[in-house]
Amino acid sequence: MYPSSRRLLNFGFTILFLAISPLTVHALPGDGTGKAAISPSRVSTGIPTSWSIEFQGHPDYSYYQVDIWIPDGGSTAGDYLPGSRFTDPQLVNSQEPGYTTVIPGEGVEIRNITHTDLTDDSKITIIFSRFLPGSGFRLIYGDTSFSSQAAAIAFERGIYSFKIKTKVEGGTLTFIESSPTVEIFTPGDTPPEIFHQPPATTYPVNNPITIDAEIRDDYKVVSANIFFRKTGSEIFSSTVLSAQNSIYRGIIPASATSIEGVDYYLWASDGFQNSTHPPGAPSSYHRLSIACYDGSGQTQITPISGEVNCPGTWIITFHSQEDLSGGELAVYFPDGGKKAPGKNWSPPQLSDAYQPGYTTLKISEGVEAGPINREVLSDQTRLSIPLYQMRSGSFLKIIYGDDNFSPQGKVVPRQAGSYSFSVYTRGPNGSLKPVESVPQVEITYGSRPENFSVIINEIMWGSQNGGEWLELYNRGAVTVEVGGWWLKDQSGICGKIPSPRSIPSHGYLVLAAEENFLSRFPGIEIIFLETWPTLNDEGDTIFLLDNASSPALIEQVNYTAKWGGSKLNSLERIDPDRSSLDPVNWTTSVSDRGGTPGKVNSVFGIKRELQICDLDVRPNPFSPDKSGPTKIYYQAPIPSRVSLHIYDLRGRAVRYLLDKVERGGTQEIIWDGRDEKGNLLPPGIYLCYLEVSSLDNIRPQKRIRPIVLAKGGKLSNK
Amino acid sequence: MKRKKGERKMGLYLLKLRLLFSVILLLIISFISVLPLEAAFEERPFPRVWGQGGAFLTMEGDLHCLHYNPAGLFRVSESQLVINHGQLFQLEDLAWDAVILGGSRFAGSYQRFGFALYQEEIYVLGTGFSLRNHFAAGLGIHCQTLQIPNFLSLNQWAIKLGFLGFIGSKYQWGLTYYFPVSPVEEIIREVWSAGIGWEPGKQWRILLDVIGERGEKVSYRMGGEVRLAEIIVLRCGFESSPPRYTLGWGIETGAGEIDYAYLSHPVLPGSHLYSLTIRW
Repeated sequence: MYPSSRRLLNFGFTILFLAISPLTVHALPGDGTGKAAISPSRVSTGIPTSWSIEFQGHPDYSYYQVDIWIPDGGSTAGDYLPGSRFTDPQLVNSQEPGYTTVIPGEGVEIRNITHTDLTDDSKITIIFSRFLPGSGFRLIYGDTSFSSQAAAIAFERGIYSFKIKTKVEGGTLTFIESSPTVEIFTPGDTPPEIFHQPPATTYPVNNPITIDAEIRDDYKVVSANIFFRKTGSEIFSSTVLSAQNSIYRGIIPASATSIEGVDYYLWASDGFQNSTHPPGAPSSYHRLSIACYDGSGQTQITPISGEVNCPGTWIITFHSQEDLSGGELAVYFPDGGKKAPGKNWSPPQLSDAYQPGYTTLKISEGVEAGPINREVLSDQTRLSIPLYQMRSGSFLKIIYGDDNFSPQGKVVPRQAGSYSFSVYTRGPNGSLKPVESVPQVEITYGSRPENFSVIINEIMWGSQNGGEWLELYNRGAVTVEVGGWWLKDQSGICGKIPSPRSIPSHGYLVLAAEENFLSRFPGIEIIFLETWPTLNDEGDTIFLLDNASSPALIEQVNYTAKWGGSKLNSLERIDPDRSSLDPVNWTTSVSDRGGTPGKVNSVFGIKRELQICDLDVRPNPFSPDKSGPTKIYYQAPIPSRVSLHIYDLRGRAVRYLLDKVERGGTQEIIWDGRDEKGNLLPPGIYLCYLEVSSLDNIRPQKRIRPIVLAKGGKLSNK
Repeated sequence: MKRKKGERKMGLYLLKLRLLFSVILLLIISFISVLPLEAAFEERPFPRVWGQGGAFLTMEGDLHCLHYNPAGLFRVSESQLVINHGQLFQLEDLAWDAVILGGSRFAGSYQRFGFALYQEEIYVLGTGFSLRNHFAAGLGIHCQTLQIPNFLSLNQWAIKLGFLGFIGSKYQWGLTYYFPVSPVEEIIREVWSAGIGWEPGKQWRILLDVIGERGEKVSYRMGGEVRLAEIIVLRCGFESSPPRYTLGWGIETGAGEIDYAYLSHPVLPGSHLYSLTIRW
C-alpha cells in the first residue's frame, strides 16, 4: 500500500469517529460513585417504619442525577402489584416534608425530583443543579415527622435492595458499587416456649442462685428475662438471661434471697407481639425454698499439703457468712475411723475443753460454742460443735495437732492421698448440709515409698555386749539406699549413716557405737557412726529419718527396759510387719550370744501366748551323797522368764537355781542339795518353786513341788 | 512375913523332886542310842503362837510354852488338851497335826508331819518350875523320828532349856537354848533365843524375840495380841526370816478356845493354821 493511501485511510477513520461520537453514550469516571446506607436495615412486616437512605457523594465528583429504586412492587402486573411489598413512596415533587422527603446536605441544590412507577419498582429521580464533591443528601421514605400515617410499611418478608444509580454531568447513570439492602421478616404467630424445671435443691441464703432454661421460638428469641423477688415482697426485679444456643441462664442475686424463700419466673419475647405473657407477674411463678443457713459458710485449711509420716499441724478455719447462732458445725476428719484407727491420720485427740490440747478449738469474737462431741465413725471421726452464738463474719479455728500444746501433739498422716475435711453447717432448726468449699489436703511421699520398708529390727541398749548397737532390716522387695539417713535419740543427738550405703531386699545393716562390737561379733559387717545417739538403759526413743529435703520419719521406737533386753541381751523385734510402737512386738533375745546382729532374730515369729508350764523332780527323794543330785525338769512356753528357787519349810529361800529368759520347751536343771553358800542342807522337805512369766510380764504361772532331801550312807538305827 | 516351918519343908521337897526329875531325864538321854545326824526338824507353826509372829519366849501359863520356853509351864495349873492342824503353803503333802496335853506344870505333845515320801514325828515332854520369886526355869526333851523310805530311818534327841524372869508386873524376859544331845558328825543347829515381853494390862501385850541359829543370821519375831470383849483375841506379828507378817484370832471361853492364824509369804502361798483347846 502507498503511503498516500494509508494517510487517506487514517483520515477516513478519524472523520467517521468524529461523526458518530455525539451519538455514543459515554460513561464518565464520576458515574456510579458515591455510597449509600439505609436504616433501619431490618424491619418486620407490617411495622410502620420511617426509612432513611443516606447518600454520601464522592469527594472528587459533583453529581448531576441520582436515581433511587424503591422495591415497592411497581405499577405493572407480573408477580408484583403496586405496594405489594412496600408502601408506595407517595412521592410528591417537593423538598418539603411529605410522605417522602429529600433533605439535601450542604453544597447540594436540587433542581427536580420525579417519581416513576416501573414494572416492579418505583424510581425516584433527583436532578441536582449543584452537588459539590463530598456532599450528600438524605431521603426519608415514610417521613413520620411529616405525619404518623406517612410511615412506610413492608408487607412481605425478604431481603430487598434499594438500587441507586448516579451520574455526573454529561455522564451516564451507573449503579453505585453497593446498594443498601433491608431485611423484612415475618415473626411467627406463637410466643417463645420456655422449657424449665425448677431446681429441687434448697439454697443457702445470701448466695446467688443460678437458673437454667431452654427457650425456643419458631423465629427468634429477641429478649428473655428472669424476674425474681424475695418471698413476701410485691415487686419483682429482673435481669436479662444470657444465652448460649437455646440454653438461657439467669442469676438470682444473693441480695434477693431470704430464709422465707425466693419467687421467680422466666419471660421471653420474639420481638413482636409474641411473648410468653405480657410483661409483669404471670399467674403462677416458681418458689425456691432457702435453707436456714444450712451449709453456709466458707472453710479453709492450711497447709493444703503434707508428707507421709511427717508430723504436722493443720488449721481448719470456718468463716461464717450468716448468723449461725443456735446452729451447729460438724467437721469430718479422714483419719480412718473405727475400721482402722489412725490408718490415714492420727485420730483427733479432742477433749471437750477449749484449752490447748492435741486438737484445740479457737474462736473469734462473736462466737460462743458448746461442748464438743467427738464421734468415731466407721472410717472417719466427726467433731460436732454446737454454736450457741456465731455471728456473721466471725470465724472458728480447729487446730488439728496443736504443737503449741506439745511437740508430740502433732498429727501424722500415714498414707498418701487426697483427703477432704468435710465441713457441715446448719442454722437453727435446720439440718446439716455440706459447706461448698471443702478443704482438701494432699499428702504425698516426701521420700521414696520404698524407704518405709526399712525398720529398726534389733536394739542393744546394754553396754556389756559389744557396746551399743542397732540393726536395720529391709523388709521390702527392692534395695534401699540409706546413706545420709539419720539416727536420732530422745535428747536430739543425731548420728548420720555415711554414704553410699544400701540395704538389699531382706538384708540387714548393723550400726554400732564402738569397735568393741567386733570382738563380740566377729565377721559381722557394721557401720560405725561418728556421733552415736546413746541408748539409755531405762528407756529411750529412737528415730530413723531419711535424707529427704524435709526428712521423713521412717521408723520410731519408744522402748523401755520393761520391753526386754538387758546389759547382755539385745531387744529383738518379733514381727517386722507389726508396729514398732507395740511393746508386745519386742522381747529379749534368747540367742546364746545375747543378740543376732545381721541375722534373723532369735525370737522371730514366736507366739506370745503363754502355755501351761510344768514341773517335775526326779529322783525324789534323793540323796546327794548316794544317788547323786536330782534333776528338776520344767516346761515353759517360748520365750519366757523362768525363775526356779528352792525354799525350806520355814519359807526361807535357800537356793536360787534359775532366773533368766528361756527359749522354752522342756528344760532341766540339776540341784545338788546345797544352799547358796555351797553347804549341804540338812535332810528334810524342800520346796521347788517355779515361776514362768510371759515376756510382757502378765499372767505369771507358778508351780511348787516338794523335794525330799535324804542322807545316803547313813543307815537307819532301827 | 515368915513362912511356916511345914511350908518350908514342902518347898524343899518339891525342889528336890524337880532336880531328881531333871537328873533322870538327863540319864535317859545319855543312855539312848542316837544317830550322829544333825537336826532335820523345823519348828512347826502353832496358830496361837504364830498369830503373833512366833514371838512366845516370854509367855507363861500356856501349854505352847512346851515348844518355845518350857519355863512358862510353871504357871500351868488346870488340865488342857490342844489339837492343832495346818497345811503349810496350802500344799496337801505338807499337812501337819499336833496334840498337846498338860496340866500342873507338866506337858507333853505329839506331832505328825509329812506324806508318803517323808514322815516325821516329834514327841516332847517338858516341865517348868519357879526357882525364886520373879524367876522360873524349864526343861523340854524332844524326841524326833524321821523316815524317808528307801533312804533313811532315824531318831534324834534334843533338849531345850528355858528361863523366864519378871521385871515388875509388866515386863518379862525369856531365854532358851536348844541343842541336840546326840553325838554328831556334822553341823548341828543349836538355837539360842531371847525375848522380852510387855504386858501393860490384861487387854494387850507386845512380844519381841531374837533367834540366833547356828549358821544363820540372827532373826527377829515380833507380835502382840489385843483382847476384845473378854472372849475375842486378835493377834498380829512379823517375822524377819523370811520377811512375812502373820495374823490371827482366838475365841476364848472358860471351857476352851478356838484359834486361827494365817502366815503370809512374799513368794509362796500363805499357810492357814487351826487349833482347838479344851480345859477341864
